[in-house]
Amino acid sequence: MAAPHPRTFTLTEAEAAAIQSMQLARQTGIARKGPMLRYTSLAAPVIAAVIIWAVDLLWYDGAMSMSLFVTLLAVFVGGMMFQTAGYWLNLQAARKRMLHTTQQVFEPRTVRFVPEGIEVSIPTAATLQKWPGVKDIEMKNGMILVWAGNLLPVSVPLRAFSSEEEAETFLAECRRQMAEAAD
Amino acid sequence: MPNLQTIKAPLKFMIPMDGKPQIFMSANHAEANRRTGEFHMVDLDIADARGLGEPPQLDREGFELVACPSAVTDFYDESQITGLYYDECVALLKLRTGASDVHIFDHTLRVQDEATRQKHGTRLPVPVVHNDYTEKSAPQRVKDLLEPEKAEKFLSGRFAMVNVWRSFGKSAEAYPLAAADARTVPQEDFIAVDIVYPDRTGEIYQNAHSEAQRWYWFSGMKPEEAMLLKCYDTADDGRTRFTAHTGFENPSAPPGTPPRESIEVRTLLSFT
Repeated sequence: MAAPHPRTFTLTEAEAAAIQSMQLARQTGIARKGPMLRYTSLAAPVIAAVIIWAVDLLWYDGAMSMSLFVTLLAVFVGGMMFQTAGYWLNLQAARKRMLHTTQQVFEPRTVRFVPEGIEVSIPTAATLQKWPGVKDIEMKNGMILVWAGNLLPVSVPLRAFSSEEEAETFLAECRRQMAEAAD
Repeated sequence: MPNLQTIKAPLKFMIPMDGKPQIFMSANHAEANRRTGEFHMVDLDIADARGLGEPPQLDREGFELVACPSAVTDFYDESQITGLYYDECVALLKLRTGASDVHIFDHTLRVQDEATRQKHGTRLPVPVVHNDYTEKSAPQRVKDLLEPEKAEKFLSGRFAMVNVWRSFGKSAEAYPLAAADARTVPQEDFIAVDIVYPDRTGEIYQNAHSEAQRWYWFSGMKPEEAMLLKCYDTADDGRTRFTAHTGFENPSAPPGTPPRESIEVRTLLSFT
């Protein structure tokens, strides 16, 4: 298969924001925790109440005062809220850091195949993503994304191709090279 | 430096400046990376570390020489590097450092000869005194490169970043690697520099020169030897955390000395 021609394009704000949030999700593991994390958060106050109720039954023979019960529950829930707030703040800090270090994503870029991998260049810098480092290739949000670890992926919007066939050729070539490098 | 063979050679240092310097990465192998900021050459005595009574150690000076023949027959063959050499480096680092987990995330071939460089798409040796990671960028690399669970493991305890450097050509003498004894380089000599790629901005240190610095190289490095270089360590107990190093033109290399061909493998080490 002949290597597809170089593609030159500029990511839109929406495309850049989409890949930045995908990268952040990969780095924080949120994407994979998904529903489990949400259900656990919702269930936590109920679980805390059950634990305190069990303590009431086993330790106080069901005679724990309401004020102690409420205090313990408040401590549990408050602790969890504190943890959640800490997690949220960490996430915001990571997001801010990531936005700062990926500002150049808005610059016009050229993506081209070279024998060792995919070369990406912007007016001020360039890099080569070697095939053995590519871990994952996907088509998502109207873009072809070539991932190496949790770094911002090599991203080519489908609109950068003149036809659907051309985009398919590009995708197929990426997958072929990745598979070949993995053998 | 009594009783040590030394050579006098100029090394390229950064001059501290206002504002943060930048390096713009080049993917064109014929070109060096573009750097902002001012640099100056300092003529230094670079001692042959083979003559040291006690060989340098990774945790003390920041570098060490190890005898470790490789089964790789062609370092330009990517499949031999990732399929064989990586495993050899993992085994070597576990043995030398006691790390419980070693993750290799990158390697770079550096070649002086332009025709060979073009043919194999390799990079030029780095002619500026630097260290590959900073206090900020080292933990970020862990997040960039590892799965969240593994990153958590690395970040929860002591981790380090070590380069395995090997000359695989006919000779390393024309453009060898020099490293400073980490105990002689104060933290003020490490200048944080942005390193700009098309998709992210990383950070490395470039170094200023100061009088106390003591510089070393290993003469006559053979392909059966490798130099380990500590580029980061979370341990703050007196062990080396950063090691200033650079390639340099060796004025004592006889005319006709073959150009340098080397490989450096970049690794993350967990001690948890």
